[in-house]
Amino acid sequence: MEETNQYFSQLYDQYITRIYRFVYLKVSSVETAEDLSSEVFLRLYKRLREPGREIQNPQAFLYQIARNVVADHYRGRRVTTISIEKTTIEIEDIGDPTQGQAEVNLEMDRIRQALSQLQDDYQNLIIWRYIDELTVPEIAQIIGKSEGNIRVGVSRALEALREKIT
Amino acid sequence: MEHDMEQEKNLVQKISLLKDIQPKSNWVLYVKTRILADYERIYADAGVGHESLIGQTLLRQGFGGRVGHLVSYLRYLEKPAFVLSAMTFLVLGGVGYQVSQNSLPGDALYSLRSAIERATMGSDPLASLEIAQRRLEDLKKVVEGNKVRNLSSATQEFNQSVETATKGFLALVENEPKKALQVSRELVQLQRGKTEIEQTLGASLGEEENSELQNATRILVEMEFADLTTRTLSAEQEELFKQAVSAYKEQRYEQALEYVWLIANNAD
Repeated sequence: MEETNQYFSQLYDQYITRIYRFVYLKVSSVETAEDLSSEVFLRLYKRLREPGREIQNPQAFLYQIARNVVADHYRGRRVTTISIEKTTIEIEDIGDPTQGQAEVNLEMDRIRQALSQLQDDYQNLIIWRYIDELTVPEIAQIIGKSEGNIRVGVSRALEALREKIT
Repeated sequence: MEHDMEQEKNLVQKISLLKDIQPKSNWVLYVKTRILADYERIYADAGVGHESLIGQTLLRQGFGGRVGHLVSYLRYLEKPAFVLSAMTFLVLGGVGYQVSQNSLPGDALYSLRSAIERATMGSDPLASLEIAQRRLEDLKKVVEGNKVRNLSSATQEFNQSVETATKGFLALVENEPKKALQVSRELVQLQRGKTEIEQTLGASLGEEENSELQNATRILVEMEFADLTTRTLSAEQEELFKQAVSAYKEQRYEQALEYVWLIANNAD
C-alpha cells in the first residue's frame, strides 16, 4: 500500500499543474477548478487502490477523468456554456504588475477568451498540443483517434483560433 | 506560405502564454495531504502493534485486573513449602531484572529487558518513540564499544522499534496533529541519531526505515502546512513559511519541520 501512496504522490506532483490548468481553462473559475481538479486526483487515488487494476497510461487516464469531471460539472449545474469573456482573469505568481506584464496579461486574456469560444474538442487539442506540449501520439492515446486525425484536428483548431483572434 | 507560417508561429507563442496559469502552491499541498490522509488513517488502523503478549494482556486487563491477578497468587503463601521457593524466585528475579537492564541486543538477558519494557511502557505512540530512543542508545553503545557480536541484533531491534514508532506517529499525525507536532522533535532526534551512527559505521541501517521516517516527517509537514494556510500569519511567520515550503520542495522535511516549529513559537 505504501508503494501505491508513493506512486500517487509522484503522479500528483507530475500532473497537478497540467490538470488544474486544463480544468481551469474549461471552467474559468479558480474555486471550481480547484474543486474539480481535487476530484480528478481523488478518483485517480481510488483507482490506484483497487487491487489488480493497473493504469496503463496515467496521463491519458488523468485527462480522461478531467474531461468527465468537467462534463459532469456542467451537467450537474444544467449549464451548457460558461462564457470566459465575462470573467476576470486571475493570474498568480507572475510578478509585479509592470507595464510589460500588464500587456502580457491582456494578451493572455484575449487568447483565453478566443479559446473559450472554440468547440470543446478544438479547445482540448490546443491545450494538449501547445500548452501542455503533448506529442501527437500522446493525444491520440487520450482520445482514441488515429494520429492522422489528430494532426488534421490540431491544424483546424489552430485555424479556428486564429479566426477568433483576428 | 511563409507569411502563414509566421502567423502560426506567432499564434503558438501567444497560446503558450497560458502556461503561466498555475494552481496555488498551498492548495496543491493541501489537496495532496487531504487525499493521502484518508490512506494514512486506514494504514494506521491496519497497523497492528508489535507489543508482546504480556504487554497486550496487561493492557487489556487494566489496573484493577492487574492487581486482582497478583493477589490471586498470594494464596500459595499460606503453605510454608511455597515460601522458600517464592523468596528464591523474588531474589533471583530482582537480580535478573537488574542485570537485564544493562543488557544489549544479542545478550542472553536482553529478551527479559525487552519484555519488561514493553509490558511497563505500553504501546501508545509516545511509548513506541521512547522505546525507539532506547534502541538507538543501545545501538550507540554497541557501535562505540565495538561489540561486533551485538551489532546485527541491535540493528534489527532498532529497525523494528523505528517501524513501530513510525506507525504510531503516523496514527498520531492523523488523530492528534498538535500532539504529533510536539513529539516530532523526538522523531527528528531519532533521525539525527540514526544518521550519526550510519556515518560512524559507513553503512545504512535500513533504507526502508529511512524511507518510513522521512515519510512520517513529510506527512506531518504537509498537515502543518494545510493548517497554516488557514491561519493569518505575521510577516515574520510568512517568511518562515516560505522557507519551510522551499525546504519541503527540496525534500528537506526535517528542515521544513524546524521552520514549522519556529512559526509555532512565533505565535502570539
